[in-house]
Amino acid sequence: MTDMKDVDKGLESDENTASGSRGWAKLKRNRAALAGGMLLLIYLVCALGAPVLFKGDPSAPDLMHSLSPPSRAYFLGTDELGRSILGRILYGARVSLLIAVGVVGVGLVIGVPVGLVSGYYGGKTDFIIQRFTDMMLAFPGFLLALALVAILGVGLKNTVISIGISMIPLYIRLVRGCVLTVKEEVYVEAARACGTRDLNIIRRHILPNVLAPIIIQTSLGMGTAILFAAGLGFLGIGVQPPTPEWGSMLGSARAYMMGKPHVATFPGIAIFLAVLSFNLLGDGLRDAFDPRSRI
Amino acid sequence: MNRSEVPLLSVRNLITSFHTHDGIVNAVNGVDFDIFPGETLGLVGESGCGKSVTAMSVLRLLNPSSATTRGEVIFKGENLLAMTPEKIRLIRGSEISMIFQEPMTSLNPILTVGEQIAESLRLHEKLDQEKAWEKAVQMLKMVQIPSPEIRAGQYPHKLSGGMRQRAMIAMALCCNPCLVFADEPTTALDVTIQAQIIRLLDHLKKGSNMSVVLITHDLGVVARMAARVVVMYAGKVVEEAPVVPLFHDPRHPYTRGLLNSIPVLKHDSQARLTEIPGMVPNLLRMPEGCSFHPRCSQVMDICTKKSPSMVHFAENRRAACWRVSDE
Amino acid sequence: MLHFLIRRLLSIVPVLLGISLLLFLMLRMLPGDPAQVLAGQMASPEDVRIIRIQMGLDQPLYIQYGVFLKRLVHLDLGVSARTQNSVTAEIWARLPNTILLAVCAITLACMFGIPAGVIAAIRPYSWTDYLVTLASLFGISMPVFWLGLMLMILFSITLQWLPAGGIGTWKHLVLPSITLASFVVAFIARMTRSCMLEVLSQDYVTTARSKGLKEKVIIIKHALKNALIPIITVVGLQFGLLLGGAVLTETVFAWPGLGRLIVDSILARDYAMIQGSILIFGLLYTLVNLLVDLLYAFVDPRVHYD
Repeated sequence: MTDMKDVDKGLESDENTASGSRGWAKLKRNRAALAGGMLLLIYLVCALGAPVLFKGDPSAPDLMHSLSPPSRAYFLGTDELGRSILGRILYGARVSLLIAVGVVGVGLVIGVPVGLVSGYYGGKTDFIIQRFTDMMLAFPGFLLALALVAILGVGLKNTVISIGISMIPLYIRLVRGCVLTVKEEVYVEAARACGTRDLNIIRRHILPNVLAPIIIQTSLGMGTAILFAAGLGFLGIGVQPPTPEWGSMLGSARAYMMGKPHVATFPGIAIFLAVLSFNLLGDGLRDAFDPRSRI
Repeated sequence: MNRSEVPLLSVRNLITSFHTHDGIVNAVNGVDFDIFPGETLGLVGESGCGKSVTAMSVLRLLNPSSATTRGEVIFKGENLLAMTPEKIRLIRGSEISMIFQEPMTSLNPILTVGEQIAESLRLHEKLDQEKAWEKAVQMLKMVQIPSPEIRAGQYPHKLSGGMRQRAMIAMALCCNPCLVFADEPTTALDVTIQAQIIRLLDHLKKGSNMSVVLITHDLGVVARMAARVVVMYAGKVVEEAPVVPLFHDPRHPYTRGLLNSIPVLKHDSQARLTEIPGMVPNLLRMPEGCSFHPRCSQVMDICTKKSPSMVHFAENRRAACWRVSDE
Repeated sequence: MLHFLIRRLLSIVPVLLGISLLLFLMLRMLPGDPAQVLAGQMASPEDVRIIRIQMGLDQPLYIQYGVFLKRLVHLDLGVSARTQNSVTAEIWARLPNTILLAVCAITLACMFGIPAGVIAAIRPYSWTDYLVTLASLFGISMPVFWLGLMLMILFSITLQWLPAGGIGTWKHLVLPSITLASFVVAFIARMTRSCMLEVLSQDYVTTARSKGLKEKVIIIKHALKNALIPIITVVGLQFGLLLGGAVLTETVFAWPGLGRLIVDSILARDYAMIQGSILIFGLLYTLVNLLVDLLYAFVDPRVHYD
């Protein structure tokens, strides 16, 4: 028994390290992914270091300086309440990062186990779970989030929950699909033939193999989460002012952009760059570790 | 065979290299051979020896971004490798055509069988829509597909593997080419179907003056169809001979090994079926000296150090082996 | 063919039932009394009581769902708390505008996305390929509403070439269509590229080359036609993104469509209207996917009708 365990462990680690090390080499050669990584780093520095980078309260109004264009005092200008747009963008990075992590967390914590169970056990459980995901996927993602916000109400927490729930079916589908292919692999059958417990098989054989697609989906999913959250904020049903949120900054900028285009320009660039960084990285990761799946 | 004839196609020092992540690989490494009008040449070797790549290189069908081809391929007095892309395009399918290994994947799934033949005819023979279709049906009849009128209007997935390969042959022959490369035309088929396809090819060949290069690892097929055989190993020609002498008196140890691995059914046969030991070498890590030496049963000192050169030791016969050059 | 059509039409029934169940439960999940919610904040207790009886809220849940379904079949989606009009009528008035915008956007997206993807795939890893890949990555990373605002600043406010919003002439349609098409075009270009790369490596493309066909013929007739099969599927799926994007685009350009109706209803807590319009969006999406399936069977001879 112990011998067999070692054998299939050997097989497994061989598989992983072989594709793994080649994947890293490919990732390092991928300039787009590197650029994404750099952008992401900048984004993280902005988000985590906002209080250091910007002194003062980003939400405190200063009506004396409302809607001033970019200048030395206000690098990116000020909004309709005279708040520094730079400061609000920096603090907005924290909010969007929080949302992205929260959303993907909800998706992962619920989607991955359900997908694993659905794919591994199959049968009736699988059928019910799949019909349920079909139902959720019958609504386009953003609309599902919209509908959930309509029920739960606005605000940061509800934004995270709504978008998170709308992403669950994607994780279920992804993980289930991977499990179905891995399940047929020889080393999994061998482990099962040796009488290894299901939980151990899932943990030692299946989970490591679905890890790459999950990581890729997570990177891309964070980008989507930021886009969705900004969309909800823009519509006025996401994170509420005065919390600095990029989407809601754009929403309130609409009324003033006629004469002051800067109020609408910079928050949009921030959203764009943050989403781009996750997409570049996710794309690079996919090319390197999971070249079979596309889009 | 009349050797004073001018060859239809001469391949000289053909080198095809692929650019891989791990370095440059010469899949074909200095191949030369001639094909004369009307003859069938067998191009033999294990998979990975570069025989298919040779055929693809001659017609320049390899992707130029991943493979480069050097050397000369003289066809009717012109070098195919130095031609403009437009000029070689007009030779493909009309004067030189190709039959591929996989009838399952070599036909376009969303075009009817008839259309895939007819489009060649419209292009090269300048036939109109209707005439081309008629000729396509006629071609399907020639390759013995039953009810060709109906089959022509069907999509490939409705046809069996054997029928698809017949359609493939019809497609290759429809413009009366003078040279056909048949790349493992039977490998993907059932044994009984294989025999039928070989019989068909042989039959079609006899009725015309076209030359056929039969690329295969199956020496039985070669014995049946080919007049002359070129044996390849690891990207190089190792032996060439007319078919009868080759089978009776193979000189290169690799050819001998290939022949020994064919099962022969004889009552009194005591001969054992023997395999060539070892594996085809990795093209990235070629052994020094003769590339066959690690698998050779008669290896000598020199084989591990220097690569043997080609020796013409008799009329129409040549081999690249130190044992042959010593004799 | 007819048989196939009927079977396929029947297969969307469970999905529609699922959608309706989800929406039914949605209203039940609302905090507080659904009758109060449906009646609106200003309703008198008497109104609420009448609505409760009208809605059969005193009945068990499954009977309530049955009643809900029955009304649904009769296209009765209730009355809007915000406008006091029938939800069906309001949706009916807005639906054509959204469909017009969506069709324009998807047409634009295909017109630019498919050729871009093909060009990128013909010479992979060339500068044209990098350009297309990068541009499409930019496209999917760009918030549509921000792109809409930027286009508006440039073409409506600064250059004054096109109207900034509203509906009427073809000029009103230009900016919203481009905005909405922007990220769908990116998805289509990416998908086309990867499908074409896949198809161009197939054996039958080598066969086509060995026949001496022109490169143009090989790419369009032999490769693209095969690649279109998966591309069509993706275009269908992108329609969902498009509907989501429509909500934002319509808000930016004050386009009187279904998307803005949803947002206005959410802001006004007009639940009957939210329920109705999301139901219609789900239905629209399901129908488009059905259409894609039918188209698929039409393009791919390997798909059997029976």
